[in-house]
Amino acid sequence: MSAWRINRWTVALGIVGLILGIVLSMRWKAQAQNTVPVEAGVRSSAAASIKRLEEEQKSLRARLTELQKELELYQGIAVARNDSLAEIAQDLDNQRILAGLVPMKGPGVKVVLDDSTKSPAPGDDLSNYIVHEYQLRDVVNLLWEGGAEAMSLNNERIVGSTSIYCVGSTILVNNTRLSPPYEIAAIGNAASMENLLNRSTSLTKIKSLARQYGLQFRIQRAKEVTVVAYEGPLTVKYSTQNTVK
Amino acid sequence: MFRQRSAQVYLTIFCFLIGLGVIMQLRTQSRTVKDTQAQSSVEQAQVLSNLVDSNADLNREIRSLEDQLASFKQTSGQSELDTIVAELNRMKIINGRIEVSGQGVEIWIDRRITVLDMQDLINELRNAGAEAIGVNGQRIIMASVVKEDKEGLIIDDIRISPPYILTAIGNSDTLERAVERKGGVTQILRYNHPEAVISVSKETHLVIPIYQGTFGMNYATVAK
Repeated sequence: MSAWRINRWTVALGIVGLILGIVLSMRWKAQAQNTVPVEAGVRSSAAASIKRLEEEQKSLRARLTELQKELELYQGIAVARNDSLAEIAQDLDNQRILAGLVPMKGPGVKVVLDDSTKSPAPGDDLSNYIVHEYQLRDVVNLLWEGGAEAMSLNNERIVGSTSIYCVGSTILVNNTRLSPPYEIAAIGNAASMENLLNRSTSLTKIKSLARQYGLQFRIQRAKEVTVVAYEGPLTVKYSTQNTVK
Repeated sequence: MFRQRSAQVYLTIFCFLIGLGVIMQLRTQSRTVKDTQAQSSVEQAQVLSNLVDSNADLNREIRSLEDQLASFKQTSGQSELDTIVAELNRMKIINGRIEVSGQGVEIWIDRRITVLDMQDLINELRNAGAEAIGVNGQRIIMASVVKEDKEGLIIDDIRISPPYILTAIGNSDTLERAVERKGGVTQILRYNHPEAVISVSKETHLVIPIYQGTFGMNYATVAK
């Protein structure tokens, strides 16, 4: 019985424990109240702005495409009226094709990358189960190396100003948010592109993640793939033809 | 006496463990809360800023095409020619078929970096709105390929050796900010190559040469 007699030691310990508990629970509560509602408010209004700007982007792109078609038409009329324009107009058509402003078709490959459908084991690094922007970049770079002539990623044409960028967990291409599955379509020498992707020294990390964690990675040769036209801006604002020779 | 001691010991250990548990839980909680929220609001800010810039560019391009269209509608032979020539010029700049000059940034790296470092640098410059990019006197176009072998980097089948000098034409403030931002491409580069000398400078007049490679279309045809 004497073991449970209250002495100073026990009282002190009890008080310390009590204070500790109260302080911690207060901190916890204060933190929960401060951060969550404020942040949630900011985030939802930012999300609304993103949505609005994305809709605006969509309609601006549609307007741009429409104008390009109209211009081609007028260019055709001008050429029909004036033979001397034919050569330069042909030149312009070719440059527009090279720039990615025209939808293209031809033989090639399709590469699909998608998040794993396996559920991660406890303690696993989640990032092994999802597709990252640098993996897409590696595939795109290899396809250019394999002789690709035109390429798209989901519905975005890859052009000279295209970056494959990541902000947090979002992948941005041509300033447009993409979501998985990611499909890269490339026109060109299919055998050469396929061989390069399949080579044992290529994309070793992606291939091992596919084996180990079920990251989805498929390469498919196709008789005909189509690649959409670029719909975004091609800004030339700061560059001028260098005339000093 | 002995039993009282042991009860106190148990109580102390018990309190200690509870305290430890609570603190650990609190710390992990506050860390995860901070991570997801900070990341997503920064993330959203970046997505927003990308969209704002992209829409501004779209508006500018729409106005320029409307001007072109207006000049076609005037139907004077000379204005048609001028319009086509101007547009051809613009396309050739985009495709790297014209030597260009303008303001921008120069990135200077005194020693060998990896192929991934170089690709990241180019990707960052593109994302920041570079209109023309050059590396050691070579124009980088859409289909440019950076490779690596034992001896170093190869761009479009031409070997380049350090120092690597990347030049990009565009808004020099925007380009510099993008390249030098915290957690950005040069910071990572400096971290991975602590001994390297890496400098970024804004330039008012850069010249980037014409593309010398062989990119063209042999398999692709117009889909219409």
